[in-house]
Amino acid sequence: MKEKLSNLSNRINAFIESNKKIVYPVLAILILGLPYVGSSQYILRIIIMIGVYSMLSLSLGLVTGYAGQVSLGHAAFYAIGAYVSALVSISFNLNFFITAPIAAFIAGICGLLLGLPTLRLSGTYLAITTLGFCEVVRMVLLNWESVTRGPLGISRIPKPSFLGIELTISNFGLYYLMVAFLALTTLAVVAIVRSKMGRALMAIREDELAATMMGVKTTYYKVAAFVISAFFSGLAGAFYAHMIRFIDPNTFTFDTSIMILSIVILGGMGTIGGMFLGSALLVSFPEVLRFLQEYRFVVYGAVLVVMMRYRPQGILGGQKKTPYKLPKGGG
Amino acid sequence: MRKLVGLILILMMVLTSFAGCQSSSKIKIAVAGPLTGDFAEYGTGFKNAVELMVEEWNKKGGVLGKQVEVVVFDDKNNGEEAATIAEKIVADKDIKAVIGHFASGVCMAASPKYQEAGLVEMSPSASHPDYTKEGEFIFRNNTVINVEAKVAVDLATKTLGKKKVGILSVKTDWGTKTAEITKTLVKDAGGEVVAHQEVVDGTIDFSPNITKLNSAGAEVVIVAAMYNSLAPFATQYKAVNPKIELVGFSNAYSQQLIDLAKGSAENIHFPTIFFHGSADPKVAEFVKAYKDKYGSSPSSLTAQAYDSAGMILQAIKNAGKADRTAIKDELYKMNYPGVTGATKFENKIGDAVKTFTMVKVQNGKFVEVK
Repeated sequence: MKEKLSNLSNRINAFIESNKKIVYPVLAILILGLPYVGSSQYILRIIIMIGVYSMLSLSLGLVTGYAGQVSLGHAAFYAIGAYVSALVSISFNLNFFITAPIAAFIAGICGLLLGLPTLRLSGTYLAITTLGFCEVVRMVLLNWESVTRGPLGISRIPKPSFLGIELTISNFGLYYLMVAFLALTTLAVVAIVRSKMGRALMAIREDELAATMMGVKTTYYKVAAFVISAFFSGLAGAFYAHMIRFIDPNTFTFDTSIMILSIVILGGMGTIGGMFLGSALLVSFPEVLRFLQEYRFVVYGAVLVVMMRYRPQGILGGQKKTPYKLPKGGG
Repeated sequence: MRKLVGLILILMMVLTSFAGCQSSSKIKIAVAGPLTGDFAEYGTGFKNAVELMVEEWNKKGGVLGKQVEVVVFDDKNNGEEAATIAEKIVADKDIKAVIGHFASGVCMAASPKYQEAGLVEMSPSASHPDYTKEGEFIFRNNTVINVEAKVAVDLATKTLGKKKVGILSVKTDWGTKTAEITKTLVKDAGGEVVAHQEVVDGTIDFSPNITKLNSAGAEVVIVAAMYNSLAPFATQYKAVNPKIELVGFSNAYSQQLIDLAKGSAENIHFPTIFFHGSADPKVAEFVKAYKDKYGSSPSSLTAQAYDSAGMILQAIKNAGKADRTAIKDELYKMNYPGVTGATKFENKIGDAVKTFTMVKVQNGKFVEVK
């Protein structure tokens, strides 16, 4: 049974690989046309949340999946992005398309500040430090009342508007905005993974000492991955703040960090597709299981346990079976 | 291929949601609150209370000759989920009103949707001052901070006759705002705020705060925190200064307070809108019916949820049709006599205007302050 399944997935992979020119455009059309296929706002909203979590898990995947550094504090960058964008857009009356890059940039700087001293740590020590950072951010949001409005949160955050049109779920604007952001994140992550940096990160994940011996600047690459990861989480945060229009410190708790990490592990560390699949599963599960009422999180937990028992490498994780394409000559 | 799997999943979800959309002309009331997670106790209270109220109406033949159905949604007290549920609720045309969402932050993540779709959201618990500003479809059947704080300050400065007031508040949207309003009101009442201490929710050791309040010479402390903070605070404070007087708020009015603080709970004063021991026969009936059905005593918030359901059903009856907008209009015209006192909404703002009962703890029991 297991054999058959992995055979099937290999065959699908091979099929996609050989028919790239047809499969990708078809997928693109499907994604762009999705809102018109008569799905309700409820479904569309869940899909948008899947997109937001895909962005978060793609960015965490860079640090955890590719570089092998476990971060338990990813919600902190999500929160920083959301707060910065919300506050800047309210106090300076700026458009979302200006505030979102600012928010992502500041989240990236915070990633740098956290990354420089802490990425010399590894394993559990790093995990605890990032966990602490997440709590520090939450406490700052709660107590720095003159700026963040403390426990009152920020309400009535303006909707994103593009050329004077307000983007909402009902006019599909938010959906397309999410698709654009997600595409940007995915392209960036794919580009990094395929570059020298990606291979350096994987080398660090497999054996840090060996990587150092081979001349890889480990700290540099780890910090760079962390900054990029924080940048895209901040972007996701900005999007979320302007979509939901109310944020308070309780929106970004440790639970959110764990959710992102669960997606990365369930989807398969060190994969791109796994992040989409993991987000789709973990975000839609609680909704699909809604008929179970108060038992739905029991089932949710049980499913996670079973998955981890039979597929500890994650759904799409593990060894790649697609044939390795040799580079064309000339080099 | 990975996206393909995602798409298949999405399609499955679309299909399941269509299966749930068989329309009919029922009258449904939605209850949305935390049925799982840290605040499940409150969400379950909402559900129980609304079901009890609806059952009473259904026994009498329903509303407009139709049986009313309660649909329950769990939001885990999470804003993200609440906003998703809101989409689901507004899409079901049979649902005529929503009772719920527990924490203010969660209510406010969902309320823009309800307002946009024109569906009444009535929260039995939201306390954030900005909550009802979202629009005219957004209601609360909870005390409004300024009115309640006024009563609490009166209790401290007039009933107890103390002028040197200390304030302890919990760092939540409600606690912070309450402390701010209380400060101004104490000054207006001729008192003096000698110290203000803030604690995070879940604090157990209050000794640093007590030292500061006590050395500032507070004679009475107004505590803006729930019973789980007030009880240890009272015990620890009375160990230091047995003469201190304490004033709480209605969300500290709970049997748990006396059970936890024992003797130290003596003579704590509160304003409350729901009083179990009230002479009103409606209250006694409700407490008995609730105890018979669920085996526990209803809390203030539960009683507020019970009245919320009553108001919405009454609004449907008064309007003569189960129409979302008509319910909103009727709510503004209503003066509803419930178990939490007479309630009305003024000036097209969804804040319930209520009268308070003053109670205190005497010999291990709550009694009314005359």
